Amino acid sequence: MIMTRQRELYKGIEIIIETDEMDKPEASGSHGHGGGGHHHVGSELTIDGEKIHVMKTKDKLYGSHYLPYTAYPSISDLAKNIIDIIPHFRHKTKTDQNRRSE
Amino acid sequence: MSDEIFVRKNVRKILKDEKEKSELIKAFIRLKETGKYDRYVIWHAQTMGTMVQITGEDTRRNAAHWGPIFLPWHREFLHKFELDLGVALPYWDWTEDVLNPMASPIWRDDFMGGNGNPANDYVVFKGPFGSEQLKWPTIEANDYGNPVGNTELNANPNIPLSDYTNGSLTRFFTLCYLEPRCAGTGGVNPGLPKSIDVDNALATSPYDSSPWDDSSSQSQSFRMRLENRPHGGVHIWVGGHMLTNTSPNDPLFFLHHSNIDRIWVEWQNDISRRTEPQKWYPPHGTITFPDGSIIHGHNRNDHMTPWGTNGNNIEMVLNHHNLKYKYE
Ligand SMILES: [Cu+2]
Repeated sequence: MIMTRQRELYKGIEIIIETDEMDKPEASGSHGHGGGGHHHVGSELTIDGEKIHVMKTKDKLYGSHYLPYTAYPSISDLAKNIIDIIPHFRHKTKTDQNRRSE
Repeated sequence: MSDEIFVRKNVRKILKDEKEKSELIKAFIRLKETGKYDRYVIWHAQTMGTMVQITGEDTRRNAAHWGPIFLPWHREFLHKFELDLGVALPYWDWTEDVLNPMASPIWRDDFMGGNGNPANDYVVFKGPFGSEQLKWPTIEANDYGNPVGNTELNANPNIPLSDYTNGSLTRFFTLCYLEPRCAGTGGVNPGLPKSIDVDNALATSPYDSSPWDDSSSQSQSFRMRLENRPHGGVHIWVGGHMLTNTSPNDPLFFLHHSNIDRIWVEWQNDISRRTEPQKWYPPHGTITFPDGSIIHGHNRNDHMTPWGTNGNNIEMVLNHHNLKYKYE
């Protein structure tokens, strides 16, 4: 299995996306590891050191338990929305003004 | 007492009756003070973290969403909540607010409060659930549905949650139509769901269809048609906590789901199926993965996460009259 590792900073928060080559959008067919429980489908997302389960839909969109009502075209989009919306990430962002933690 | 039936009314009617309105608000605050309210928030987040899938399946199906169990699970959730609340849950018929959502009476300062404040992290300020009252500390949950900062909840479900309620209610109304954040799944956000969206769902049968998840055909799954657009669209439109795994932090969640459940009742009462409960849900054992194995937790005689035998199974909630409530 070939993994590519992509790192980016968003509002001062580190996003790491490790993608199984098989999980690239151009790859076709169904695949994955493990079964039943809390398993990923070929990509791993880490935000600020926290591992986050990524779900893929049959429409090739990406979802998270954190944002269960929406899905996004890329894991990077998903990660940025989690940072913007989920309070314990949002409160750590560097660019937002008037945060309670300040 | 045992014969008492909760009558769920249109929230607009509740708002015209000062006594009923303040009793409802008091009941919510009381449940929050006892710590029971937060248990419901965590139950909801935990089902989100409980995937129901087989190896290699691209799906978001979990123990309460994106599968056939969606409607029965939320019916049981609201039923338990209503018993704890001690007051009937009104329903919010958002189709009445499509033209001017901001003008809806539900946002009144003495009721749900309004939008979050963009200059203060989208925190709701006004109203009984607003930050000015200090009566509505929210609880946040991690990816697995446990309170943020607590990893032991699964081992001991009785851990008090009060140490973890330290947030504020947030909302971020979708007042835009073209910005990227307004785009939900599949494109531009079309605003609050309309009557036509509800009518289209009501005209759809059967109840659900294979592959029994977030890719079930909208034209062959009443459940998918209702769960995706009208249901999800309201969560997306309100934004803030309503977008997250802890959406029940917003009391509006319960008014919204009361309406979703009301639409299910209406679908069940259609002349073509009102006397045929076998059409209300697929027969036990027929909800299967692509490889033919049973999707445990979504079949008709299955119990529901996290209550197990401390709650009703799916079959027992299909007829809502068994649960001692009705819609006015
Ligand atoms: Cu839900």
